[in-house]
Amino acid sequence: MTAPIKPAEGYAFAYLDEQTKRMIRRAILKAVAIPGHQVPFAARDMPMPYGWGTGGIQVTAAILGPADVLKVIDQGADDTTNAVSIRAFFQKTAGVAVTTRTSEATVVQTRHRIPEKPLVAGQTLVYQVPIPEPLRFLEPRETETRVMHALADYGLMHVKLYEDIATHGHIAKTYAYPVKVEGRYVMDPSPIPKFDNPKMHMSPALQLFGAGREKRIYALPPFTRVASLDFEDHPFERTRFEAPCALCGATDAYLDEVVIDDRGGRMFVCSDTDHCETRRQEGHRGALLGDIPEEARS
Amino acid sequence: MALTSAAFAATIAPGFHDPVFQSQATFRAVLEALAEPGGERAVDGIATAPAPLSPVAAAVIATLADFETTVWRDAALLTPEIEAWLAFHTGAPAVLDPAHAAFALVSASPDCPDFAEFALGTDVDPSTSTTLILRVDGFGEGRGFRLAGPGIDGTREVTIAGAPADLAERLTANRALFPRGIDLILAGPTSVMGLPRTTHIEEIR
Amino acid sequence: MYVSVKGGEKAIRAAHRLLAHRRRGDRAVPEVAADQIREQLTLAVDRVMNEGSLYDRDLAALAIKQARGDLIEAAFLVRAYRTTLPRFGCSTPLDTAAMSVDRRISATYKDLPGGQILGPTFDYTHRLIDFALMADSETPLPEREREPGPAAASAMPRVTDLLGDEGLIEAEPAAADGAEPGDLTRAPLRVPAARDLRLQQLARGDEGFLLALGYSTQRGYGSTHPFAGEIRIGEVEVEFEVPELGFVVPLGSVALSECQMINQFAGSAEIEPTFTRGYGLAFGQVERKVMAMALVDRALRTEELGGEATHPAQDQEFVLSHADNVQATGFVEHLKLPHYVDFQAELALVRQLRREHTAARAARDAQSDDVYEEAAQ
Repeated sequence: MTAPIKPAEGYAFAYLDEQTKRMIRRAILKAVAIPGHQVPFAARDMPMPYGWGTGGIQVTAAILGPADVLKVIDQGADDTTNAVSIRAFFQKTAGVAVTTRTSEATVVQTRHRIPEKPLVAGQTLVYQVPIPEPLRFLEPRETETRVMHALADYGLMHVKLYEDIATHGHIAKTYAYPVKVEGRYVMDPSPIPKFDNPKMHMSPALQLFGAGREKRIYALPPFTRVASLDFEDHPFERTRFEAPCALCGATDAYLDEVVIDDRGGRMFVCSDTDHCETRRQEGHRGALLGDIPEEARS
Repeated sequence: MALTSAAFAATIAPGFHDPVFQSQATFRAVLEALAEPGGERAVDGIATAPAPLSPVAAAVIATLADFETTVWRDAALLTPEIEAWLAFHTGAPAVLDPAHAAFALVSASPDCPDFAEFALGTDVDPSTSTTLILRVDGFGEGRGFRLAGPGIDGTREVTIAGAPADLAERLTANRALFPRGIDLILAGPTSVMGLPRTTHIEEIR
Repeated sequence: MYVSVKGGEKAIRAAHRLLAHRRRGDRAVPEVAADQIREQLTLAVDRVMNEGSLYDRDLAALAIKQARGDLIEAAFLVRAYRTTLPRFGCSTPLDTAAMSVDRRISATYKDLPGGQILGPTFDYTHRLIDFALMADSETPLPEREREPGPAAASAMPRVTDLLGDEGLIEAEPAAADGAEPGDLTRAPLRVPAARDLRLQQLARGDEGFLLALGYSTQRGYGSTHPFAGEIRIGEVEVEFEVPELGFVVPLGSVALSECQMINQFAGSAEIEPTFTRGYGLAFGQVERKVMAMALVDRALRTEELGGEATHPAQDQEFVLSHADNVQATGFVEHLKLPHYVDFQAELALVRQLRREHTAARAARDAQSDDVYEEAAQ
């Protein structure tokens, strides 16, 4: 963990002015009161490009306080350039403590993953969302999709999923896999792999979703029922990996495929860098690092 | 003779002494309260707020309201001091019709209109409903309720003193409107409790 | 041994330093100053002020320098800065009829009260590269027949007012007293959007996008039969009413371009034949932008005038959702960010689908072999 520092001069705390924070905070409260419903908000132009996390950044900026410890990940990793850049932004403008350890963080901002370590009560996960509308690629018009949500008319989505089954024998959607929240709203979980979908269900942590370009905020309070869409005879299946992580030996984590040569050689390693490092510190060893060392054997 | 702005400001009681951090802390308390209904969250109230506006309710409204939101008040809160205090510290326009209120401040539960008289939002835009800030005498005593719904692992039992006698019936009727409906923030002497529209409530004895 | 990619922080630092170095270019050449950009690349400054949504010549010039001349990047810098500024309120409506005119032309009249004023335009220049500009040379001062200054509104009436006096053009709907125009930077844009918000989005919108859409209406994708009624460019006073003071305070003046497009309209069941309006207004000298804006504004009014929106330029949701180049560039360019987690999921799916496809084909082939064998027997 890196301790809090003095924020940069000339900026409001966490960059946003108080009026903007109030506007975002009001949207967050309504989002929490209507789980899965996309609340419109007047997203501001931020000093990062649209599509690079402006929604998540605005949500984080609106909730962050001096006592928070912030973790930022992209693709599960703390050291990807966009994660580094966003973390540095909040260090500079809010001076907050930052960490790479999931267990130390009070606020985790993420792009495309949910950490492997189960989140606990008191933690908040902030998702960066590119396209908040789960029906967008079935019906491009906002005027239409808004009414579908109002009427809970999700026939179109079920038709699409059913067509997949008819064509491929299974639902051909591997990320941004739609979910139904508390039996009411169909929600886009952001482009997390469907491997992560079950982690949203009844999580003790608060989950907030921010879409800056599309100007929407939505939320899952803790202990909210989140079901991935499926059919009785074709139940939702979590992605499984054939090999364990080559570094830490994890068999229950989402793995990145790493090409290691130009002859088709590849290996699989944890996408969650903190999870992988923690496991290795605990003595777990994958195939690439050799057998379990003596001192870790029981 | 016109009052100078400085002289005018001097007649108004202070609000937050550190608006940025106090409103952030209050917001997080309210956020957690609404995210975990029935949980009590401590709020550092604004002791200088003009009575009968409670310090905790004052902190909540100062945190959330501004020139972009409307505020409705019950009869007991329609004093010139409170009017001036809200205008100065929030800039929020006052409304007399509860159906036009983004926020409603209720200090005396017998004066609380039927929840359906407030803005309930629409099926397309359910987020345009009123957030009610209702002053209560406290938690941990008074009437008992069992809560269930999002934010609650199973069920949670709470006690609330000084809420409207028919709170459970009111909230059950409100729950039936989902996704429309009001959201309730109970302001106790030192803390808040949230009862959003998703919460199922029954009175227990 | 494999070591996972690290050092994002170091890489970013080094990249920023290299970027600054490349921005500076050859150090043997004097560094360009923001005031040189402000004074000599004025049309770039104007574009950045519009798409950056902030009237500040110095800031726009600095942004152009910082962005190495990338005008969308410069607009983005200005937008992000704008976010940090408090909003005090809304000026009283600008009176472009009282404009101190630099240029004013009408295509619908040969001559008109106040005359045609060509002003500083590229029109009628021959587009020949002027090699004399390579050298430091004195540029002669302009000839002036008329002292510049605010022309009396009566001396230079708007062309649309002339038509309006005859009842030939639709009346401009008057705003309700004290009604503030909407602001899509304070409340998210919802469609259908009123004309004030549409015009705001178009004024902030990408010049190239508006140009292409306006052009498409001229090529039959939603024709509006336009005439350039009037284009005027010049300085307009900005006034602000301070509620605490109860009177209007002049804040200074801004340079504006305004285009009033006049469109033929055959009428509908409810509306008698008349001319209709398309309107464009933006900061600085941005003639192409306001002309395109006026075409698109009129196209977006198709439905309110009883027509059916069938072409892209008439489609509010399509036009308004895609006009903002700061949003567009961010989302297009975000494809540079790592997507390997999702790609991994797709990789596994494509492998699985290919396996299944091969198996299905093998099964089919086996089946048809059986048929052949049966037929042979």
